[in-house]
Amino acid sequence: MVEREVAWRVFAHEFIHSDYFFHDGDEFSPNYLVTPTGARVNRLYFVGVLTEIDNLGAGEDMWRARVSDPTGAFSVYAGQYQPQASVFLSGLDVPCFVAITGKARTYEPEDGTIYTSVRPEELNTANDSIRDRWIVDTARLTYERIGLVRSAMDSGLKGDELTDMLVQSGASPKLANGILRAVSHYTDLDKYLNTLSGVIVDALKNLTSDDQYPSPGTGISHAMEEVARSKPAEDMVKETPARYSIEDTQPAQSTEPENARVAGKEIDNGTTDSEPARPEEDKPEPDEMVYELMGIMDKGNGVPVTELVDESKRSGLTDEQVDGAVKTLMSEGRCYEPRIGVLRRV
Amino acid sequence: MEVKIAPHVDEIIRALGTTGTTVNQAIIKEELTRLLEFKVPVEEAKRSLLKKYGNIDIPSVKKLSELGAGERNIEVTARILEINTKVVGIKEQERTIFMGTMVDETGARSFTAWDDFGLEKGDVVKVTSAYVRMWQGMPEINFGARSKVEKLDSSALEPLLSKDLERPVLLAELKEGEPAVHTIIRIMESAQQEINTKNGPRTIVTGTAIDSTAKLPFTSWVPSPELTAGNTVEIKNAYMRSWQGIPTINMGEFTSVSHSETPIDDSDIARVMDHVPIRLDKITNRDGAFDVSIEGNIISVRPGSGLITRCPECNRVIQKNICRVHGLVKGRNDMRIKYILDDGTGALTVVLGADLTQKVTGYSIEKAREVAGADMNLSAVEEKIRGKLMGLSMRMRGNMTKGEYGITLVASDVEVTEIKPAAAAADLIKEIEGAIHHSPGQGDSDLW
Repeated sequence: MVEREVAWRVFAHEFIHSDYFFHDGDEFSPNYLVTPTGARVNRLYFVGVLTEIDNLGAGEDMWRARVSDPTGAFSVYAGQYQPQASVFLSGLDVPCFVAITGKARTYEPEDGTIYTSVRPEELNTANDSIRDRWIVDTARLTYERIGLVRSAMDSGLKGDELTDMLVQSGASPKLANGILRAVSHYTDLDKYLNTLSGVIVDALKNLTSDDQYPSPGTGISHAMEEVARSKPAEDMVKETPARYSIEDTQPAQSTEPENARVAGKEIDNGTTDSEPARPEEDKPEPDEMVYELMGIMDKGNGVPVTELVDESKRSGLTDEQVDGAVKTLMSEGRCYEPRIGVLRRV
Repeated sequence: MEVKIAPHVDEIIRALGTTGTTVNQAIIKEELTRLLEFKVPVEEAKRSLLKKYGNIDIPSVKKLSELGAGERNIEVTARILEINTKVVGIKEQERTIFMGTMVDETGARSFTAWDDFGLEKGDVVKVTSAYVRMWQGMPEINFGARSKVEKLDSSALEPLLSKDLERPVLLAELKEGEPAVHTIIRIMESAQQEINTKNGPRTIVTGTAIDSTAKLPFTSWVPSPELTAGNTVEIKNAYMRSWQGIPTINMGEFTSVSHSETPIDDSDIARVMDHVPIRLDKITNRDGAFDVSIEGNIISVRPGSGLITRCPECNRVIQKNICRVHGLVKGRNDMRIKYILDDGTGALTVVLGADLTQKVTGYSIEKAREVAGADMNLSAVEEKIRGKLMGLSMRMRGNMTKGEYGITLVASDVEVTEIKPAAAAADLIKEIEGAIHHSPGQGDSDLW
């Protein structure tokens, strides 16, 4: 019996910070990407916002997609051997929620850097409930792995003794093996785990806050973090009723890839329809103002955050409002961060 | 590496001497040297020379857990855990044989002694020239007239298992084929059943047992008044045997069933009774599971899902109305879904029958036929189902089995699960920020 490879849950942040690929045995044995928290990823499953879809190369059918979660973006490549995935992706309008099961791949250009990507096996459109659930599940599992890696580093144990300790602590033998590899491969692991913990908390805070009162501390950019730190933490834990009946999960849309459409409007509705009426309905929304500015200021390469903040303040918004608006737009999948400190509408 | 050859040659000569064979020392030395030059391990070289000149078989020393079917001439050292006599008819003659269980540091195995070696419970014995037979799917040690049984000082097997075997095992830890099972269970349900055996009708008790970790079916081949629903019983010397892929506790004539001092009460079994889902990495390492609850995402809908056609005679899934056994038949439509459920820690295949397919997709067989259209486009149905299900979080119950094609759970119920992401996220934030020195991975979570 060949055991099926588990589909690991990792955030994009961790996935793109992974650069340890290995395979045991002969050429037919599976490849694994070992992440800093020791996930031994051959397969992964994630839900995010499709923000870009490009057909690469003339003649050759190769599609590149970017799927963003609250922490970063996954690169997805579908070529001639993934015809269904290619057809599916080419029929989608950005932005929309997608759920993807796929294999971890790496690309190493000559300069020594390693880029991780995903080769899709199975895809579907999703909705905000499925995406939110994925964030919670992935945060839980990543947090557990962080704890296990920390206990591995603190234990001073090695080899079989360390494996035993990890299994005793609840790790599966595969995870224990991955953690051993991660601990010996990654330098500055402690620092990265701290960063990742912060990233997880920020991703979760996105879920607890509503549009008007975004939580502080999202790692949008350094500039934004500065703004956020100056602001008192607001404990806005607000329940969004999970909307999970089967019919709801496919909002009035055909599932045939060629017809698959998710209107941008729907995403707006998805995050707002459970909220009480807004007190300031007739005033222009800070979110919409920032969104407009982001579009106007973009000369094709995105807008630096510092410029966006300055411009927004000139239009009468406060630092807090801009900060909140950007986070909302990010979590709704309406904008993303192509480079650190730069924002762009999807 | 230089092997000092002389002591080995002496040993061979001595061993051959016990059978009355005398061989020229020079010949032995020459042949042994030659075998060693060929890098034959010294033990193997000695064995082959003894076989060649004295027809002596040196038994191979084995641990109980290493024993495989058909091995002969083995030597084991173990403690007799349980021994019982049994009268059997061999060639129309009555004969008393001895059956029981022996343990060493690697495990426990059943044995049958075909002669009276005066063995008693607790003895530590070295058995040589024994052999292994498969009995009820597990290797069993057999020894008889040609075997040698030597009783050893019982300290020879310190600090052996006897202590460990006193500890009852939890149901979730029980493995397929295990003998000498000691466990404490609460009887959930039980019923007497009349079955026909080749020795005439016989009354057995079947039912379901539960503890804090799992539910398992049981079969008692001997009626026992203690096996009544609601009772907590301590069971010693039962054995595990799979029934339709599900590990089942078997109680035979040598099993003791007694009222347990410490009852398993409702709060102990609440997690199992309430179907709290078990994480997949904790369940896929079991040999099988009975009525378990699991939760995860549907990450792949497998080919062959949706509308299918079955042979009306044998229920096989058929293509184009041709059954490979019954030829051309008028196929009967049915529905099923096979999908991969994955929670990030483990994965298995789940099968939903027609009712549950309808429950999760809203498709009746008639509706599925409509989707397939006049030309019965089955892949259209499959694609629709994939679009509806792929990515969803689901919780389901059923029996899990392991087979050639992997791990499968046939669902008896399924539901789409809902959480409140905001509340769950807030809880997790509290846990992360609040418990910096708390070791995660052990924390109780409402998600699992």
